Amino acid sequence: MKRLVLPALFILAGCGGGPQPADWQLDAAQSMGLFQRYYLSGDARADAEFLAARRALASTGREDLVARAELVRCAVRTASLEFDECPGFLALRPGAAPAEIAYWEYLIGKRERAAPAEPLGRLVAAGVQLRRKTIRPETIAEAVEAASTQGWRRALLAWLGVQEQRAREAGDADAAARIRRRMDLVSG
Amino acid sequence: MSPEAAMAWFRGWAHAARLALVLAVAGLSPAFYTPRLRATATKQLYFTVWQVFVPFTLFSALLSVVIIEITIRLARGYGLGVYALELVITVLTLELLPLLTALFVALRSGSAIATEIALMRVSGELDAMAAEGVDPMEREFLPRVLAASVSVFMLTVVSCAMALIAAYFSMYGLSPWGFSEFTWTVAEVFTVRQLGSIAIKTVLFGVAVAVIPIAAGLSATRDMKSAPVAVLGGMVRLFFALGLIEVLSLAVKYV
Amino acid sequence: MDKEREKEPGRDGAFTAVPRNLQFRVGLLLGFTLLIAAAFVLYVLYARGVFEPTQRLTLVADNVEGVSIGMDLSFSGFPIGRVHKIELADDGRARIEIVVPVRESRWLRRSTIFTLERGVVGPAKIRAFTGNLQDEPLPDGAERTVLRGDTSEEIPRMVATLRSVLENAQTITANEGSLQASLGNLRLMTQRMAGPGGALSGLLGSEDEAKKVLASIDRANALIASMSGVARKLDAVIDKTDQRVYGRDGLMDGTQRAVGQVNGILAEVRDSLKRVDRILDDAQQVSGNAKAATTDLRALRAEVDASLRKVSALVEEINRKWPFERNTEIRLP
Repeated sequence: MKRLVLPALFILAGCGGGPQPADWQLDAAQSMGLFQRYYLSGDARADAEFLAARRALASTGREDLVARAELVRCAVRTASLEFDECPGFLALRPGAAPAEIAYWEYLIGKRERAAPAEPLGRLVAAGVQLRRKTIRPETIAEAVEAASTQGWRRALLAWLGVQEQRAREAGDADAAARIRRRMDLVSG
Repeated sequence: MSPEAAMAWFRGWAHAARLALVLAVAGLSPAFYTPRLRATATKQLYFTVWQVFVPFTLFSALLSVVIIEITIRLARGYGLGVYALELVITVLTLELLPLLTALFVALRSGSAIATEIALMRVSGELDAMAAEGVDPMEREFLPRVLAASVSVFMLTVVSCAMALIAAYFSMYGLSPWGFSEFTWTVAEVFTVRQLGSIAIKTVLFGVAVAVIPIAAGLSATRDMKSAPVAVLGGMVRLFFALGLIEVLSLAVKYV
Repeated sequence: MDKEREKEPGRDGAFTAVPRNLQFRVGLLLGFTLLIAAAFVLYVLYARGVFEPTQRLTLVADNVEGVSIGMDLSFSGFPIGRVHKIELADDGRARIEIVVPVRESRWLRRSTIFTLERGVVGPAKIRAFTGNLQDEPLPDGAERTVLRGDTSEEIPRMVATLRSVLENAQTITANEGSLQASLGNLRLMTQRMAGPGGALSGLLGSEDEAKKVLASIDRANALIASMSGVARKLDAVIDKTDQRVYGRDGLMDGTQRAVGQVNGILAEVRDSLKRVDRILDDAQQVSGNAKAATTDLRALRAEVDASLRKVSALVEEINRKWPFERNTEIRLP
């Protein structure tokens, strides 16, 4: 339902007779939403959606918008414990606004940021914490919960993997076995 | 109890009754009151009363104080102080003290009289008197009866007076303000009927205390061994007689 | 102790010691005792009021149960008189004669009220109440009626009341009584309720009425049904009107010059609706089972394993700081 709010708002604005949202806006918004969901769930359509979104945004010629999309991608990957320097963003860095740069620094782990309440934001924050090695065990468990609640396979597998490694290294064999069974369940 | 013993017992009562009658007749006729009789009576009275007057008074005072204190304290606990006063005066002065006094005199003088008369019989003195033509009635019996009666009367009066004084002090202490209430209670207790009854009771006690021992003593024989038996029998009979008088007085008053 | 002993020749040679002043001593004792006795008697006489003037008071009552001779007349809790005589007068009422010492008679005035109280147990109490102590004193030999209060008299009255209450209860619940009649009506009512007409016939009183009511209900239903039919027809009409007005060849088209702007707006709305359609399609695709998810789980697992391998060093460091604890970390969903 939340995914419909943005388009619905556009429609209502349209009915009100004011300036209509452009096609590219609608397409980009929708594609980005889908990309996030697909990526975290491990759905293979994620990349296609991202490319569609990028194309739509690039048609405006505005680098900041594309940079933002790249950041979203980077964040989603951080949430799934795939750490890198966000090369897509780095390529667009000169044209990026300070807010975006700050967010990139946060994703990198150079900056602190208050974690938002909603699940993706929390997951991203947890990923950042892991990257910075400041994460606490409870946060790992919360990340697993969050990913599990949303049904985000990729992220869930990643975080479960972390737990399994922890259990394995602590010598707790059957906890590790239990986690592995859970991972097997997730990945079919 | 064998029939002979029972008969002897009844005979004893019969003797005592007869003697009492004779003595009564004698006592009521002024001819008997010779100076010698008076002297003997006085002597007997002295022996009966003088030594015990003060000790007995103190004893009865003590007894009264103890009984009154206990009763009034208990009754005060229930808020029945005034009723307790009336009750305790009634019981003490009208019933308990006369009986106690009579028993005391009986114990002391009655036994002595019985023994004396029995010894007179044993020693043959009475026979000698009879031979001389002297009436033992005048010389021995009547004086003793008179003395005993008077001593019972005296001791009763004194002990009752002590009881009343003790009652006042127990109830009101040294304050004079309870006097009217006390007086009221006294008036309630000592009705004409009660006064009459106690007077009669005292007289009866007094007579019994002397007559029955005398009769008992007379039943002795010249055999020395009969003396203690006679005295014993007499004292027992006296005890029962006193009890009987008491019960009769109670029955007449309260039933 | 100077007791001069006189040796009296006793019989058989025995001697009894007799003091000289024997007679004096005996006389002393006797005199003392007599004095006490006399004092006592005088005291009792005084206590009984022989020596003080008294006045008489007669109380008249219907019933002198519980009154005995010698009872007190109390005033403010103090006994001030005594019952001397109780007798039955010629008129059948009882007369209580009370003796009051004159010195106590000042408490009794002309207006004094006398009461005779008797509880359920115990003797009666005669009490005097004086409201005005300045009133004229009560004369000697006065006669007063005494007010009686007897709680034991209340008991018969209570019993009588109780009996009448029970009688009333009996009449109410008797066979022809009002209670039975009410119960009978109630029974009839419930029978009707349970009958074919149901509650309705119970309320209305008969089956016919109930049938009438039901019939009217049916008619109302039919009316509503027909009305809904009418409403549907109306709907159809509105549809047609809609089409005609807003449809392609409708009214609006026909009046394009007048509603040119409206056309434009409507076109926009149409676009928006089309977009909504597309979004809804996608949304359905996303949230529903419209298309099968194109997820290769094995590949996904492989990818995740690869990325985990990259992250393992980080995890090791974290493990050193925070060793694994099964209880806190593994949470059942």
